[in-house]
Amino acid sequence: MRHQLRGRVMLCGLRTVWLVVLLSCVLAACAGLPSQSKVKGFGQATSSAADVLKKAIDLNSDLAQREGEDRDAQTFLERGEFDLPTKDAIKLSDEVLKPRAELIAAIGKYGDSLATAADRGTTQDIQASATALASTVGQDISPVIGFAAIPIVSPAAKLVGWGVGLAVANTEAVEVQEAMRRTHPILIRASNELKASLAIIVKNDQSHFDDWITQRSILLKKIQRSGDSGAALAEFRVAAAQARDYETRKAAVSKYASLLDAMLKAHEGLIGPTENSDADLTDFLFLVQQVAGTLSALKPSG
Amino acid sequence: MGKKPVNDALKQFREDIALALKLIRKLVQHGNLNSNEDDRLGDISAALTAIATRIDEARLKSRNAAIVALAKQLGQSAADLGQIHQQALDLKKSLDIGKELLDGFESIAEAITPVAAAPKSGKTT
Repeated sequence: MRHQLRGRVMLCGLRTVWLVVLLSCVLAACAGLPSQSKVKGFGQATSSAADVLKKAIDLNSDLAQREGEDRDAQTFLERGEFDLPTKDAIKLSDEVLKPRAELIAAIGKYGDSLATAADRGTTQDIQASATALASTVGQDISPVIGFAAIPIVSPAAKLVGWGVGLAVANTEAVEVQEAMRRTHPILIRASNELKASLAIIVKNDQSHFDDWITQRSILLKKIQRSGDSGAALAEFRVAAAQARDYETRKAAVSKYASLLDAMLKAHEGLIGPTENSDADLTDFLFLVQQVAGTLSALKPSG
Repeated sequence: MGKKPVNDALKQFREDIALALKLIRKLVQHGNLNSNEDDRLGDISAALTAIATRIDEARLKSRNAAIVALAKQLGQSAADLGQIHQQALDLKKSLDIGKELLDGFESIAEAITPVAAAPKSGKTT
């Protein structure tokens, strides 16, 4: 009887020591790794930033369409001639816009994958599965090690589940961080290329915007000269709303350089955390939220 | 050797077009112009925008290959991350299968136990 009790106590002691050693190893290895929630936040923000950058490209096509439409409307008012659908002004071709759109999409996909890989839900699922498995194992072994072991099994199973979840999260975090480290130089080059490209695209957007304002103004003057002041006023209000929307969109997408710089800084901070890493990540999240919020608040002005 | 001055001149030309487009815009909006003058300025504005777009297009086209290569590399990074996530999903699957196997084993053991225990009771029919 005394022998059996001693064996039971030893078993409990060994189990406790094993858990303490396992958990301390895991926790020690966790130091210096970015938290899942930060990586996930960064991934989601990167994906949203990609949507914002894509808008700079879409704006070019929108403006070219309006310029063409307003020039055709002038011809219609002057001579009664028209072609439908209207002919767009010359715009940047798909040949040059598509690769940029694909690079932006690739950055967004990278962000999405980061967010998925760092999703705490997966770790929690694994924790639940490990706990369930440990409970089953515990039920099977409890009759073998005696009745006194039964109350110990349930909390132990939970601990095992928690430990397995933590170990998996840690292993995943190491692998994710390694993938981020490998990607960082690519992200820097992608960011530089995009900045150079977007500088040209945004400038082209501005030229198209200036031309659209010119064409629109000429059209408004033609309507006003026709003597229908009601129609002129209605058209003027539509033009004013459209101009306001374009100005907002231009202002939002012109933040591309700050967005890309903030993204790189936050990415770097997640790979090698410093005292500024949290602030860098916050700045990036705030900037993305601000720009995306401005763009999503726009209503189609027709 | 002679490429840089050409590039610089083209850059300057592009800047001049941007400035001209702004001036035309102001003239049409605020100048006291007749319909013909408006039309002519409208034509010039459209032509200048087309030239500007061609210049911008050429500059963008020269970097196409580098951009495509980078998109591929980033795609690979996304795929690597997807694989890491898949490993975690596979582990969860393995744990679930392990539990199912143990549950199955327990059910079989329970089903067999009364039969095995019956002779020990000493009762005979």
